[in-house]
Amino acid sequence: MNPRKKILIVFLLLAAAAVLPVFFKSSRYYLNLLNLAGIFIIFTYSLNFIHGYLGLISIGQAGFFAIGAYVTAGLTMAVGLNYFPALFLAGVASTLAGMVIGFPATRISGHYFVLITLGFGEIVRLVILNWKEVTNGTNGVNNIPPPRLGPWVFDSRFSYYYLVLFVIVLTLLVTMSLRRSKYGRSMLALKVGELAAMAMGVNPLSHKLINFGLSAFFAGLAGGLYASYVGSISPEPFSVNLSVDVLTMLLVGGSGTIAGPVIGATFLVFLKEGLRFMKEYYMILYGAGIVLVMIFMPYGIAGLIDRLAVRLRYPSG
Amino acid sequence: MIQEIISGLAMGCVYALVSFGFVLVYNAVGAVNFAHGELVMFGGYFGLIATSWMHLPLWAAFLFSLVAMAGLGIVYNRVAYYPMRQRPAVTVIIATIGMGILLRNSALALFGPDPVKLKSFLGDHVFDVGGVIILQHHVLIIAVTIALFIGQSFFFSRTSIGRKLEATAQDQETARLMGINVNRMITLTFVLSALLASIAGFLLGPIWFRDPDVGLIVILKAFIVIVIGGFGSIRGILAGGLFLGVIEVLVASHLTSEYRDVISFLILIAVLIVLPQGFFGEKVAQKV
Amino acid sequence: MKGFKRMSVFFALALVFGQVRLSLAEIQVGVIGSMTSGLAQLGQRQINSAILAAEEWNARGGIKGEKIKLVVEDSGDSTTMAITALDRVLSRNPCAILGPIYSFQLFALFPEVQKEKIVLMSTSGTRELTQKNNPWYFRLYPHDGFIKRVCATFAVEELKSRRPALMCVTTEYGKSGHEILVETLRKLGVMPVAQTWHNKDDKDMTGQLMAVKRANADVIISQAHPPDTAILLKQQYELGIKVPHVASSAASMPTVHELVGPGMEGVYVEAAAEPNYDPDPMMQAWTKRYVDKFNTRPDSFAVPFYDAANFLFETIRAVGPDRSKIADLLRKNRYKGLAGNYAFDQEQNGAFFAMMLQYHRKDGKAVPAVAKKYDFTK
Repeated sequence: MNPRKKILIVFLLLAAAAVLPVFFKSSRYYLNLLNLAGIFIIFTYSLNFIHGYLGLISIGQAGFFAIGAYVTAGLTMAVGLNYFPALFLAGVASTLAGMVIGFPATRISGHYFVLITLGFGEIVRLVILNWKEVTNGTNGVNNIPPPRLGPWVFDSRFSYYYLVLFVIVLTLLVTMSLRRSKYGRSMLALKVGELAAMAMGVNPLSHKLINFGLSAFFAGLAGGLYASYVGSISPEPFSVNLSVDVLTMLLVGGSGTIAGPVIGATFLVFLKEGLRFMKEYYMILYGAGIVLVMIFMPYGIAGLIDRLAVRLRYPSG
Repeated sequence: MIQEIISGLAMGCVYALVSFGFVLVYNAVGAVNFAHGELVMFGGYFGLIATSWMHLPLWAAFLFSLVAMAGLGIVYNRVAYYPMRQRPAVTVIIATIGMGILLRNSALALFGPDPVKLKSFLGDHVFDVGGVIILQHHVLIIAVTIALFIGQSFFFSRTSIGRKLEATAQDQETARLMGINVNRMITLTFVLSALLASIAGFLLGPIWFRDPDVGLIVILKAFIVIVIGGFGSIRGILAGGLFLGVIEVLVASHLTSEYRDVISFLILIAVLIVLPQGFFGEKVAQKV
Repeated sequence: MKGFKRMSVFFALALVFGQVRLSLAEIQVGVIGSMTSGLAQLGQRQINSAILAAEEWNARGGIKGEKIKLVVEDSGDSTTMAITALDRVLSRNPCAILGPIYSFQLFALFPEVQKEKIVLMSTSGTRELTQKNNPWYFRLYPHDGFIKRVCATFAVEELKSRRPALMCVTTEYGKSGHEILVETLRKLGVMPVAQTWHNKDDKDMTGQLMAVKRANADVIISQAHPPDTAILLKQQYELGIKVPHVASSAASMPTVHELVGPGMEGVYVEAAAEPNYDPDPMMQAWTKRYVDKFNTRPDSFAVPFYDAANFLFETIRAVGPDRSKIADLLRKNRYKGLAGNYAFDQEQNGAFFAMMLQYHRKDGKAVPAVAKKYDFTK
C-alpha cells in the first residue's frame, strides 16, 4: 500500500476517533468503556515495546502502571503539582524503576525473564499495600483531582476521552517514529537474529534498556491517566491479573503491529462488558474466547487482517 | 522453632507437589501452563463431586478424581496445546491463561463462591510429639511427596516410556527422528501433569480450603520453587519446595508477617540473577 | 466496502438508541454487589436479601400501587467492574442504590454518586467510608470503630484480658480495624503484647500463631476475612493454643464453621445480627423464608441489607421516588429493622448496635449463644 494512502487512512481513523464520543455523549456507560479502552490501549502499547520489538514476555507491567498511578496521585495531591507535569514525572519514575529491573533482567534469557517481571510486579504491589505511611496502604488514595490545564478541567468522561486520545496519539508517534528510525531497524534485526545483528555492531544491551525504559514510561502514563480518571486507587487491582490482562490484549490484538494494541484492548474491554448479560457464565465465555482466538488467530486480530489483506491483493497466491 | 520447621516442611512438600506437575509440562512443551493451579483445584473439586454428589467413599473418590483428571488432561492438551504446537510458545501461554479463566469460573458456576472442605484420609487428628503438634495429614503429605519423588525419578530414568518422555522433553525433533510418537508423548505428559495436580488437589483439599481463586497463588509459589530448584531437576524442586516452605514460616514468625511475600519474591529475583539455573539445574546457555 | 459502511452505521444507531428505555410504572432501585469472583460469598447473599424484600413488597401491591423493579448488576472483584456496574444501573434512572459491601469499590463509586445526587446505601464496616463528607452515602451497619470498640471492651471487661494479641489481615478492613483496636485498648489502659499480619489468601498462619504463643497472650483478637479467619481458628486449635479468641464477623459465617470444625468451641464472634440462631421469632421466620427461596443460609450481613432495603422502600413510600427527598427523609427518620434500630448520626452512620456471640459445639455443629448485646443507638 503506498505511503500516502496509509497516512490518509490513519488520518481518517483519527478523525473518526475524535468524533466518536459525540455519538455517545448521552451514554455514560459507553463513554466510560471508551475511556477505559483508551487507557488500556496505551498500557498495551507499553507492553508492545517489550514483546513486539524484543520478543520478551513480561507479566509485571502492572507494577509500572501502579507506580505511575501512585506517583501521579501523590504529586497532584501532596505536592499540589499540576497534573500534566505530574503525569510526566510519574512516567519518569516508572522509567527509573524500569531501568532498575531492566538491567539485570536483560542479561537473562526468555523464561527466567518472565519470572523476574512477575517478581517485580508482585513486589511493587506488596510494597504499596504495606507501606502505609506513604501510600495509605489498603485504604487507598481517594478523591484524586481531575486534570487541569489553565481554564479547562477534565472532569467529565467526555472531556477525558480527548485527553486519553491525545496521549494515544503521542504513543503512536513515538512508536512509529521509532520503527522508522535507524534504531528501530536495528531493533528488528536484533529480534530476528541476535548474533547476526551483534556481528553488525548492534549493541543489544542498550536497545533492550531503551525499550524497557519506553515500556515503563508508557505504562506509567497509563497508570497516571487511570488514577485521575477513576479518582481513587488501591493496591488490589494492580496484581498479576492485570499484567496478564494486558498481555492477553496484546496477543489477541496482534503483537508487534501498530493496530494490534488498539484492536486488542478495545476488543477485550468491550467483550468483557458485552458478555455481562450472561451473569455468572460470562467469564467462562471470556476464557473460552481467549483460547479460541489463540487457536484460530495466533498473530492476533491485526495479524489476521494483514493476512486477509495480502490474500485479497494476491488472490491467486 | 521445631513446630515451625515441621509446618514449613509440610507446606513445602505441598509446594513441591504442585510444582512437580507444573514443571513436567514446562519441560516438555516449553510453555508455562498458567492454568495449572486451576487443575490442582479441580483435582480437589472432582473429589468433592464424588463424595458429596455421588456419595462415594473417599478411596473411590480419589480414583474418580484421577480418572477425571486424566480425561481433563487429554482434553486440555487437545485444546490448549495441540493446535498451537508449531507456533511460538507465547500463544500457548495465552491459551492457558484463557483456560485458567474458563476453569476458575466454571468452578464458580458449579460450586458457588463459598470455600468448601474436602475430607482428609486421616481425619483431623494430630500427633503430639513432646509438645510439637504434627497433623497426621501433614505426615501423609510428606509421605506421598517422597513416594512421588522416588516414583518419578525411577519412572524417568528406568522405564522405557519414561525415557521416551524425557527425550521428547529435551528435543522434539530428534525424538521424532528416533521413531517416538511425539504427539502421543505430549498427550501423556499433560495427563501425567493432570494426575499429579489431582493428587496435589486431594492432599491440599483438607488444609487449603477449596475456593475458586486458589489457582493464581498456587502458580506464583510454584514459580518460586522451580526457580530455586532448577527447571530440569526433580530433586531440585523438592529441595526448592521445602526451602520455600520453611523460609516462609520462619520469616512470618520471627521477622515480619507483612512483608513475608515480598521477601519470597526478592529471593526469587536474587536467585534468578545470581544462579539462574537454580541450585540443582543444568547450566543454562546464556545469551551473550 | 459499502456493506461494511452500512453495517457500521446500523451498529452505531443501535448502540445509541439502545440507551433509550421505556420505563413503565415501576420504581427503579439499583442493587450492586459481587455476583462473581471470590467476593461473591458475601455479595450474592446480600443481593438475595434485596430480592426478597422487593418481592415481599410487590406481593403486597408494591409501593402505592407501583411495582419495585430492582436493577441488579455485578461488581465482581474490581473497581472498574463496580464503576461499569454503576453506569449500567444509572442508565435505568433509579431513585436510589443499594451498594456493594466492599469499601474499595464504594470509594470508586462516590464521585459519580455525588454528581448524580443519588442515595447509596451499604452495610459496610470500614470507618473511612463516612469520613469523606459524602452526603449521599448512608451506612447501615455498626462500623469498625464502633464494633471494634465493642470487641476490645468485651475482651478487657468481660474476659479480663491484660495481654491481648492482635492478628489482622493486610486489607483495608484489617488495617482500619487494627488501628481502632489499638486505640481502644490504649484508652482502657492495656497494651497488646503481639501484633501479627497475614494476607487474605494465605493458607498457613503457623508463623503468626507461634509468635502469639511466644508472647504469652491471654486473648487473641482477630480482624480478618472469611477464608483467613477460618485458617486462623483451625490452626490455633491444631497448635493447641488454648486462649480465648475474639474474632471479627467473618467467623459467624456458616461456611467458616464447617471448615474450622472443633476449633469453633468457645470462640467469641462479633456480629451485627445472627439470623440462624437468634431465638427471636421474627428473625426465625425471616431466615426460613430466605432459605426456602434461595436454598442457602443467610449470613449476618444479609440481615442489615434486608433492613436497608425495607428502610429504603418505606422512605420511598413516604416521599415518592425522588432522589433528594429520599436522602432528606433518611437523615431525619428512624427505622426498626430485624437486626436492630437504625437512625443516622452526623456522619450518616446508621447502626449502633452489636453483639458478642460465643460458639459452642453441639452435635458436630457450631451453635452461637449471645454473650452480650450492646446497643448505643441514641
